[in-house]
Amino acid sequence: MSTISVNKQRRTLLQSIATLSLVPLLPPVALGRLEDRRIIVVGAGLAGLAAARVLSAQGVDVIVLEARQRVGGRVYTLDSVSGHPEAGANVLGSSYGRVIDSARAGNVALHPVPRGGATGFAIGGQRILAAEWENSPANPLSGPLRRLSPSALLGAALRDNPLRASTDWQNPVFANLDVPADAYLRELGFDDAAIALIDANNSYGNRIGDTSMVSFLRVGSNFARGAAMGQPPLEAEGGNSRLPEALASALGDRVKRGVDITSVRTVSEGLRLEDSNGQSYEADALILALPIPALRRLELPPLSDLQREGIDQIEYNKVTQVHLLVDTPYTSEQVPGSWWTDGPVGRLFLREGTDGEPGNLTVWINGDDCDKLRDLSTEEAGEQVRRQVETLLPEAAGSLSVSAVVRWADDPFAGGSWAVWAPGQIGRYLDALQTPVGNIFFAGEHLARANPGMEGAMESGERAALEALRVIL
Amino acid sequence: MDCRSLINLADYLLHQTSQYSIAILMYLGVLALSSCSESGPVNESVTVADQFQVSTEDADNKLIASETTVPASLNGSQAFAACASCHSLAEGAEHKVGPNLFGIVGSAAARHEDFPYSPALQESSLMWTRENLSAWIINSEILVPNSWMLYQNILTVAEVSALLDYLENEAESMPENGGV
Ligand SMILES: Cc1cc2nc3c(=O)[nH]c(=O)nc-3n(C[C@H](O)[C@H](O)[C@H](O)COP(=O)(O)OP(=O)(O)OC[C@H]3O[C@@H](n4cnc5c(N)ncnc54)[C@H](O)[C@@H]3O)c2cc1C
Repeated sequence: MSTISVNKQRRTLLQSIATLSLVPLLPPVALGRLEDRRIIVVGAGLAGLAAARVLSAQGVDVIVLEARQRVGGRVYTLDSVSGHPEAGANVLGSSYGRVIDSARAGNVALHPVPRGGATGFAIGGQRILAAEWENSPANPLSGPLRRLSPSALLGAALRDNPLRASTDWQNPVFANLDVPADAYLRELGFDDAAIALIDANNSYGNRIGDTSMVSFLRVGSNFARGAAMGQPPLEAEGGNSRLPEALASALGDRVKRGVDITSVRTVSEGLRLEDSNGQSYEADALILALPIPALRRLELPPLSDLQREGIDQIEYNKVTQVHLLVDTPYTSEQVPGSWWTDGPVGRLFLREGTDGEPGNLTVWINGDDCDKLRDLSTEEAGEQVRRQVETLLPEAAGSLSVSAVVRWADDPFAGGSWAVWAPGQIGRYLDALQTPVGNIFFAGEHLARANPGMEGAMESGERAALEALRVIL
Repeated sequence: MDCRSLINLADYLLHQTSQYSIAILMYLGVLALSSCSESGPVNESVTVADQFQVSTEDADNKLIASETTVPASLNGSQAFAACASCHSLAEGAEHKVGPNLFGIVGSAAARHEDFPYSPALQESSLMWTRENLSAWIINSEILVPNSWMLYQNILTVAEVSALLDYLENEAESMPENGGV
């Protein structure tokens, strides 16, 4: 059992292709040999693909069902836009072992993220250059905090970080840090103006009062460790979507796109899934590798009260991105390319074009500011944001055009960028959300333990794969 | 004291005392290990119990908590799936994000000159006895604070033991590509 020959793996692959393409409803699976057991993974994001990678390497008959026509979920390169900007995950940490290994196995080249240019600040619509921040009348901070730029402000709050180990953020020993971030910051001596700046572009809660301080500290300790490792952050050649695509292509026809699963039921033979077209699929074990808002759409067997409550309660960070093409460069000594604002356009990240190509300006709006764009059509939302950017940057007027609008919070298959744990939710829900229900196992970025982002997603998939493997052995 | 509370205690001590000795933490690691094996594989019992809990709560929607859902133990090669993304095992195979593990059992920590270990591990003077390796797999960042293996253990104690057998015995028979 310890080694599975290549032939067996091939046979499993051929079997699954044959059965899948003919009849989605499989006959009852005979229990017996490992390769006769079927595991279904729902969701071809990095979590689901990592789970499938582990299982297929063990010779298990695994298929992945993906609702969208593309794999990768929240890793999403805008391939049709010049310069291939990322609408989802941007950077890989050098400690992302699973992601980096998948890139190696799939021949996806990784390179250090190019250094960005200068960043300016805009407070109440008034522009401030970094060098002038401290003495600018538009700087709302007081006392010793005035020296700190909006982006450095949070860093200062995280300097005496009690979290050290990668899993400390979920350790009950640190439950005293799982408190509203504004209250904690106030105790550190941050006034309302400082807290408002931290809230302006907050990625770890949609409102500062619902943001757990431990989430900020988790990011801070990851950042500090990453800096100590001294390796540059990476990105995939040609876009980060090449990573999930490589994982999916190694799985071949075992990844089915356009299958939106709507329900899971237990039947005498095992588990039966149904998709939005009424087709059903049967499996001995199931891995739901879905973000919580997507999980919420599914009809599931009874869950524990705590698990149900967690699925109902946990919010995801609202992120809307408007991608703008920059035909004529607007940057100069006095006009930085990237901007941090406390206004409706959030943060602006410029990536200069190479070889005469246009540049890409990504407008990254998060939190409740996204709601203001909610009722607009994609086109209206893009145009409104473009006009707002031109008000901020008259130098760029006439050379900006909308290339993409991505509203993560309104996407039923994502529901936001990532889980933002409100104070108290980690201790209350994290373990419950990971608890298997019969032969149903759970994965996804929100169940990451030691690693963040993409690597955390893969970590959770690997864990769920081994849990599922144990019940079919 | 059960395994989890020992690990929490170790965590607690780690953060309460700025000066702690590796010896104390190693002791805690080993203690956690032996207490885990006394009380049976912790993960397994939790999983099985939860399954039965759910299935008895609602008889109409009975979940398949038959013998097929009682988790089996992973063997050493299966357990290595939790390591394989970051570690090669074949002799001379390239390091990944973590170092090559050929011949790890019984060797000194941070032994490869061409691998960028954390300063913490380099300064630990640990020997990779089976006990230390078990403690490392169960919670590396308790055994060596500020070390860089970012992994939360997902293996039962029995599986860790099978994994160590595998690391010890299978390395010689590994194919050149190091598997996976
Ligand atoms: C804007 C943005 C920036 C980010 N930046 C970074 C970064 O710089 N670095 C980093 O490490 N991480 C970053 N992340 C986070 C990272 O992208 C995620 O943590 C990771 O990709 C999540 O993977 P996952 O598999 O858990 O979920 P997903 O990628 O969301 O995968 C879930 C999959 O399930 C599918 N699905 C949903 N519902 C169903 C259904 N009913 N039936 C079938 N399939 C379904 C979805 O279509 C999707 O493909 C970023 C995310 C966003 C949104």
